[in-house]
Amino acid sequence: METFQPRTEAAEALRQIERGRAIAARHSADNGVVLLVWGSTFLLDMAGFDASRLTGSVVPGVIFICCLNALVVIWRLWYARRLPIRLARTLTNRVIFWWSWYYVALVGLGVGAWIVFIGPYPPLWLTLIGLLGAVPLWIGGARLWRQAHTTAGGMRDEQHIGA
Amino acid sequence: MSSTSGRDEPRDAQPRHPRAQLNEAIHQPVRLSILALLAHATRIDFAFLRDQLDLKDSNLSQHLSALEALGYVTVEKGYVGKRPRTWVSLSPAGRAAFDEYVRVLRRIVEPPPETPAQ
Repeated sequence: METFQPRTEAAEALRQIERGRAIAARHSADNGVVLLVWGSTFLLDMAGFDASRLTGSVVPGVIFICCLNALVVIWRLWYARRLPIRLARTLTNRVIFWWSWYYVALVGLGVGAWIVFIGPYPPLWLTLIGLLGAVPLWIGGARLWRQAHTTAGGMRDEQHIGA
Repeated sequence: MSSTSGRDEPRDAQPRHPRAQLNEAIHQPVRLSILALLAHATRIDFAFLRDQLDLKDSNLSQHLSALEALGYVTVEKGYVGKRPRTWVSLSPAGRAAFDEYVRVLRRIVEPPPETPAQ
């Protein structure tokens, strides 16, 4: 039937376009890596602060956080420059923006409000807050990673788009 | 003259199949691959395009020149540090043409409407 071939060709062209979307995501800032690293950094920040409490001083924790976050910022700039695809709109930046509000509420309530209304916080409390803060970023990062490595239909994406 | 089924209508009055509306410049496999990648980006590195599409520099350049002549892509040369880089991006005209192309593809893929029983 004559009409079968155009539909087959069109479906294949649409699949090729979908593969293009996945490849573009995989090699751009929306591949999930930044969110996974950002979440891990937040957890390490809070765990480092908890660890510094054991020394009886917050100074080591502050130094650790400053160094770690400076490294992550530098890494993020380097990583963004090395990516071959610049996206028109980056979902990652939007996720981090909205997560920042969650972070402020989490730390404000979990640390500040706790100290004011309850008192000293228990051991590993900051690490728990770090985990609560990291999990949404890990979930977001994992979803972006999955989207960047599969195409519609759930198939693992091929290495090349093919031509 | 009555015409219940439309069989007596002149041929040029019959609706054309959507495939007749496909943009042939985009429908070429390599160019479709190029535009499929560009559709989601502000710009893409030339070397990356070449490697992804498994093409030689000259071959990719030919296709990009053709797309540039149609006004669908823009090619910029610059430097990152001391390394020369070439960036390719989709123009507004190219984006509009590509979006229309995708619409036509979807129309082709959609199942045809059922003809009502007479």
